[in-house]
Amino acid sequence: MIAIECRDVTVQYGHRVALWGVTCQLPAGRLIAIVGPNGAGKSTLLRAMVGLVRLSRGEIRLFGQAPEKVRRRVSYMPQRETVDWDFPLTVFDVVLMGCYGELRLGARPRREHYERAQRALELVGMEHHAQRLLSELSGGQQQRVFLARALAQQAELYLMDEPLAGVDAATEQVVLHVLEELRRQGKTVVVVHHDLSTIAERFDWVVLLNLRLVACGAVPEVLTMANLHGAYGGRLQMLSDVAQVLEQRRQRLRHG
Amino acid sequence: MDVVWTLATAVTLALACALLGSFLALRRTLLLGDALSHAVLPGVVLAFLWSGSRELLPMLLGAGAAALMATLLLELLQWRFRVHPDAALGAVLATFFAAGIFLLSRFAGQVDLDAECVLYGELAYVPLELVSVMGVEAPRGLWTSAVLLAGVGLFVWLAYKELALVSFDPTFAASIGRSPRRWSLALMGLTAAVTVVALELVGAILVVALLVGPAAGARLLTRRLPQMLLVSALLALSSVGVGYGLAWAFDGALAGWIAVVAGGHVVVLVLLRRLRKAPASAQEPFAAEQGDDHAQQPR
Repeated sequence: MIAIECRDVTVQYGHRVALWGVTCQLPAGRLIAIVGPNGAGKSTLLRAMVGLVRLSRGEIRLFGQAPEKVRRRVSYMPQRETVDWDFPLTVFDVVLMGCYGELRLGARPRREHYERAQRALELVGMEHHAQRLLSELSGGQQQRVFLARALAQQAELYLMDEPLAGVDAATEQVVLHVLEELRRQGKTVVVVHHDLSTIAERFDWVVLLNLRLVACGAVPEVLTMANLHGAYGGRLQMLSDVAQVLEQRRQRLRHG
Repeated sequence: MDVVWTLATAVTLALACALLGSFLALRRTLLLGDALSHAVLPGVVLAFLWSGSRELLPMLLGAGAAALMATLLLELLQWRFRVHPDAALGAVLATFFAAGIFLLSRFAGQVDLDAECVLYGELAYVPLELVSVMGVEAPRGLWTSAVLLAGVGLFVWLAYKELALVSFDPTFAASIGRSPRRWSLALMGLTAAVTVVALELVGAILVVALLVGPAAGARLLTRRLPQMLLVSALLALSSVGVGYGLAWAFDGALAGWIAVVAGGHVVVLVLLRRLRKAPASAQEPFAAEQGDDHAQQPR
């Protein structure tokens, strides 16, 4: 089944082109990474999938429908640098916001929503910090709060913008564990991510981007030298690392 | 009785300003509130000249039109002509306000609206004009500010979730279908309405003190949004109370004293905080420590 379908997606900010004619289909129930160099349009593609940027050409369908029609089935997690962490709210307040999409104007969260927020906090190991203020959190904890808010939405499709950028080792483990867990539940997860070796190791599917689509497909087929050169040019030092990880994975598959 | 009417009016207005100001402060758009409160002036004067009365509706429409024009001009300057936000704000604020002053001085002789009153307001005149609504007689200024407070209160009560959401994380808000733009427009609209009502009570200039003072003070004193709203309301009450005491003791315009106290709160709170905490070398670690429960002893 296809979760996301992009047809000729083109986005311009003023005169600058951020995405150019991207056409791809992303399967449901997979762990999908969007990779590419800085300024390749990764975040823009993700934002376009939530309907946050206007396409100058092309269209995006989520589960065969326009993004605005399926908001309840989609959870979007922005980069954590986009908000002011001095805002006078507690961790729990923010996680609860994951339920706001279902609450109408004037409606207050009910017991089920509180329970959902609590469970989401437990999943990211932050249940003891529920009443802490945002200004007291470390970068990794901030990331976990955003992750918990996304989980509280109970969506089918998760779109996450760099959930692994600049976090501590413990948080990285938590995030990777949550991603695995979501896949196990049959959810579709699309993640903007930088580290090619984690992708080679953990992800199923890759969208390789550099303004245009370089390649899109299953990890072993897409993460080839030719493709990576196409996306990054010759300046990628970790290419050989990736090749190594992929080789190990192929061997594991062969023996296991 | 006159004193009671005056104080009741001032308190009602100050409470509405404090509630609204709190959200403006959190969104870091207090300056936009400032600009809007000045930009409505030409609209108000034109509406007054056109309708020939101080009816609220034409004044609100005029103010709304001017606020809308100012907002559009701001967007145009910033996005189309690439003027920096501070320069755009300053230019629009000054030009609109000057246009208002010009209109006022040009036509002041012909109508019952003088520049002094619009700029500084006159709380003391509030009890002079009594209006009876449903058998209850009270000053017109009190009725209008009561309607305003009810409106702002209802807005914040109904849209508390949405306001917190779009102020904290506009991108996420948009992703679940809550348009940050629409809510920011609603806040701006209410700010314009507050300014119009405040115009004849405390004046176009001093209303800024009521929007900024209690909200900024509450932000310093509290760490959670609900408490912040409550404390900003308390600071608004104390601004009016202390301001009235000072006006009584030292004489002078009541509105002026209220504004001085509203702004003075912030200065005093900042100084108190500095004294209470150990001297901090940098701003950010200080702010972070402020929220840490284990940071009771100075380092």
